[in-house]
This record gives sequence, C-alpha cells and structure tokens, in this order.
Amino acid sequence: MRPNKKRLSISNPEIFPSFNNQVDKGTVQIELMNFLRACFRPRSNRHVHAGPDSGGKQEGLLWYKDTGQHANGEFSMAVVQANNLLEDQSQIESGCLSTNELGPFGTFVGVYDGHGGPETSRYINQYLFQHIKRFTNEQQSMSVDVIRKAFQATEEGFLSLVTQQWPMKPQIAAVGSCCLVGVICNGTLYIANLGDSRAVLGRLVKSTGEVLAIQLSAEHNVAIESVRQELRSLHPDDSQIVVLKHNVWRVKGLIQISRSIGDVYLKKAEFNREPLYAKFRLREPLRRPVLSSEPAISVHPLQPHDRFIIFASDGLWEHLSNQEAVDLVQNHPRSGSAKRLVKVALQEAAKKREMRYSDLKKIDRGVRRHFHDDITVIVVFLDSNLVSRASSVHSPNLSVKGGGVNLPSNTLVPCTTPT
Amino acid sequence: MINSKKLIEIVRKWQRLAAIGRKRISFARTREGFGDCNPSIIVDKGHFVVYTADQQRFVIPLAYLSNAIFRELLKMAEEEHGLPSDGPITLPCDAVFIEFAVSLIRRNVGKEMEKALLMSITTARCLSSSCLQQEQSNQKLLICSF
Repeated sequence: MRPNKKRLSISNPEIFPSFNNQVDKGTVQIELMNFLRACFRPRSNRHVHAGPDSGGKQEGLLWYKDTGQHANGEFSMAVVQANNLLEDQSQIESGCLSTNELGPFGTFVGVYDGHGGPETSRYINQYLFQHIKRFTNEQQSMSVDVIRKAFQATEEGFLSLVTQQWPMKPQIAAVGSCCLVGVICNGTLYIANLGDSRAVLGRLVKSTGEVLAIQLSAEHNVAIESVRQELRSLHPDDSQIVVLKHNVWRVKGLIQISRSIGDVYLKKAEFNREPLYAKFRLREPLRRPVLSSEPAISVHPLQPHDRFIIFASDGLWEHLSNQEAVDLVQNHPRSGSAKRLVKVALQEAAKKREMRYSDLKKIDRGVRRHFHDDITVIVVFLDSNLVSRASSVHSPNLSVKGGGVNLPSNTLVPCTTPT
Repeated sequence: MINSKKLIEIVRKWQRLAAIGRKRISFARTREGFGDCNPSIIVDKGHFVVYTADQQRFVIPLAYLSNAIFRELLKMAEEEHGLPSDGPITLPCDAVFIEFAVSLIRRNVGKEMEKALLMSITTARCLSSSCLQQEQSNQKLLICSF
C-alpha cells in the first residue's frame, strides 16, 4: 500500500497540526509514529484497488483474482489474511516450465501455508518454481524426480538462509511452511505435498451427471492416526514423539504437522539450542530429524471428465468438506469461484464463533487469527481440449502471486509471537 | 496514577458485587446450546462471543478487541488451547474475572488501572478453572503492583 502524496507532506496541517503551530517534540514524535503506522497498516474499509503485479484486487483483508487464463483453462484465486503478517503464500505460473524457452509448457500451482512467521512460505514462493524450471531443463521433461529435486533444493536453500541469519535472528529456526504443488504438463497432473494443505479434483460422473470430489493429496497432520503411527515407527525409542496436549496431537508437543519445509529446529540439533526461545527447545538433544521434508508425490493422467482442481490451505478445509467445496464451484459461474469458497468458509467460521459474518470482516489482522486462519484458494479449471494438447505447444507466460498485505517482517507493526 | 487506597476500594467494591449472588453484568448469559451451531444464538450486530473456563457465555462489543486486557486474554487462550477452529472462543479465566475486566473497561477507569490488571494476569499467567483462590491471589498482585 502506498500512501498518497497529500499524506506524505510533513507541512500538511491535516497530518501534523502541531508541527505547524507549535513545535512540541514529543507530540511530533508520536504523530510521526502514528503516521508511519498508518502508512503500513491496511485499512479494513479500504476501497478495492488493484494489487501491485498480479491484476488482483484487495478488499479489506481479502485479496482475489476472479478469473485468469492458464495453459490448460481458466483459474480463480483468493486469499484472506488473518495473521498479522500473511503466512499463506501462493502462486500460479503458466507457460514455459523450463529455463529453456522451448518448453515443456504447462501450468504450475503452489499453495504454501507458513507457520511461526511468513519467512519460509515467502522463500518457497520465490524459489521453488525456479528450481522446477532448472531441473526440468536438466532432464528435458517434467517428472516426479524434477519435483522431488526442486523440493529438496528449496529445503536446502532455506536451511542455508537460516544458517546465515541464525546469529542475528535465531527465531527463524522455528519458522516453517506446508507446501502443496500441482503441475499440469502433457495431459498429466502431478501433485506434490508436504503438510496439511489439500488438492481436490472435481470429476464429472457421466452416468449420474454429478461432479464428484476426489481428494488428490493426503495431509501430514498428527491429528490423523496413521500419521501418528508413521512417526512412532520412525522413532521407536521416543515415547514422546507425539503428545496429546489440550486435546490436540502435536509432534514433540510443539507442532501439528509431520512434514514441512523449514522448521529446522526440529531437523538439526545445532538449531535446537540457545538463543532459540526456550519453548521451542527440546529437553533431549535431537538425534535425528523429527520432521521430514520429503514430499508425497502422486501422478494422475487427466481424463476428459476432470472439470477442475481446488488447491487450498487447511484454513478452507477446516470449514468446508471436499464435496461442499466441489459443489460450490460446480453450481456457480467460474469467475469468482475462489472468492466464493473463501466467503462461505468465513461465514462458517463466523457461525462457529457465534457471531455475524459482517462483524467478523471488521476485525483487524492479528486479532483476526483468533477467529479464523489465513485462507488461500486456487481453483484451476481444466479445458479438455487444452489439457490433451502436447506440452511442446507454446502458451504465453503468466505469473500471479497470491496477494494480501505483504510487509517485510521488520516494519513497525507489532509482531505476534510465533506459534 | 491511581493510588493504592483507591485501588483497594475498587477491589473491595468488586468483591462485594461478586458476593451478592454473582449478579451478572447485562451481557453475561448462561451457556446454553453450546456446541451446536444454532443460528438463533448468533449475537447482535457489533458483538463477539467468548466463553469462560466455568462455561459462562459473554457477549462483548467488537471494540473491546482492541483493548489490551482482551488481547492478553486471547493470547493466553491461544497458549492454553491453541487456535481451535471448530467452536467458540474459550478464555482461560472464569466469569468473575471477565465481569471485573469488563466493568473496568466500561467505567473507563483509565490506562493505569488496566495496566495493573494486565500485569496481574501476566504475572499470575495461570488463571484456570480453579477460580476463586486464584482470583484472590490476583487481587493481591494487583495491589502489590503499586
């Protein structure tokens, strides 16, 4: 957000009355702070305006792009911010999927739900797709191996960032992110996932005319019994690997997901020590990583009846079932699909909190996190004519990053403690 | 700056109030229909709902969300229960405490007094369902902090 010119003038009596009448250092200082805060703080009643680089629109804490065109059809995207700094990041990249401009061509979608801060999800948003392009070029095609290597390179890159920043900013060791990726290339859909975001396919059942929800990814969240079992079998010597705390299962009593990018304090012993906050430090030294960064990757040949894929962070799925979400997309116009899903999820959140949706929307970011999570939704529609086209067919490059009020983490806004 | 005499007076008054059959401030109601999402329990415009550890339901004006006491209580709730998404907000304190906090904010006793209460809750940190005892220790802390 950019302050308008009028506000920037220090001699403007509307902004700095005391500056012009009587020089009172204290007042000026306070007003200057207020002014700077005003510049950085989003206004919930702010008018709709276009985002910086994406053609998206911002309405209070909601960012959306109703419709756009990717290599395999249309898409719709929406993000609502709840955290003081948006921890959900997302992107859709269409066109060339390689550093070599000859292709292959296709669509890349990423949803990155960060925790403990925005650093990891922002890092992924910046680098993961670059790694994909680099490995696609090396192997001259899209594959599971390309995606796996790109995840690994992103994890390693973030680790070196943490190593570099650790002396000044040790809490970066406790920042991490889920990472959900979809790649459509050559009529094939690749889904790679770490953490608890989810991709759901809407597939038309010819005989009944219904559009069925098919979940394409599994969550790595210890709320799920099989994930707890997996962790227990990986750590047979640790009876405390998953702990039930206040009715919520957590890995080492700290985190609900079992796989992530970042969270190096649960992966490397050298980052699980002072000066990291005591609440993140384990009693016994880390002998091996307790969180994994290995994505689960699945490959789905797309069929003519596959209508759309919904990619979303858990903020959506805690309020909507797969089929509810698919029905909402199927039964309404394509344009604005993602925004509609976010809105229905918020209405549901308001209901659970026993308040009105119109009031929920008035709550400022930060405090808003007590009412719902950051929510990101990308709906990717599949045009069967375009999907079946060879990946060598050129399509124009497009890049949209999910908006929100993206501030650097060292601005004047008060920071919430990482959780 | 409020002197300690006045503070003790306020605390005494509050104790008296609490003793008189726990007369609830107008927006406290018993927790009925908790758990189901009956639209009839959705509150008036401009309000949000919190429950206390002793299961009392409070309807609070939205503006209180910017008050430091409520912010601290929400933060404590997050530490205590995480950020569950499946139901209403439950604060880790009891009804008497919320009534006191609300009466302070309502009467606009000023930042000093709010700060004192805040200090007492952040020092005590462990307001849990075992209410009265802790309430009393909070009073002490509240007085000691001046």
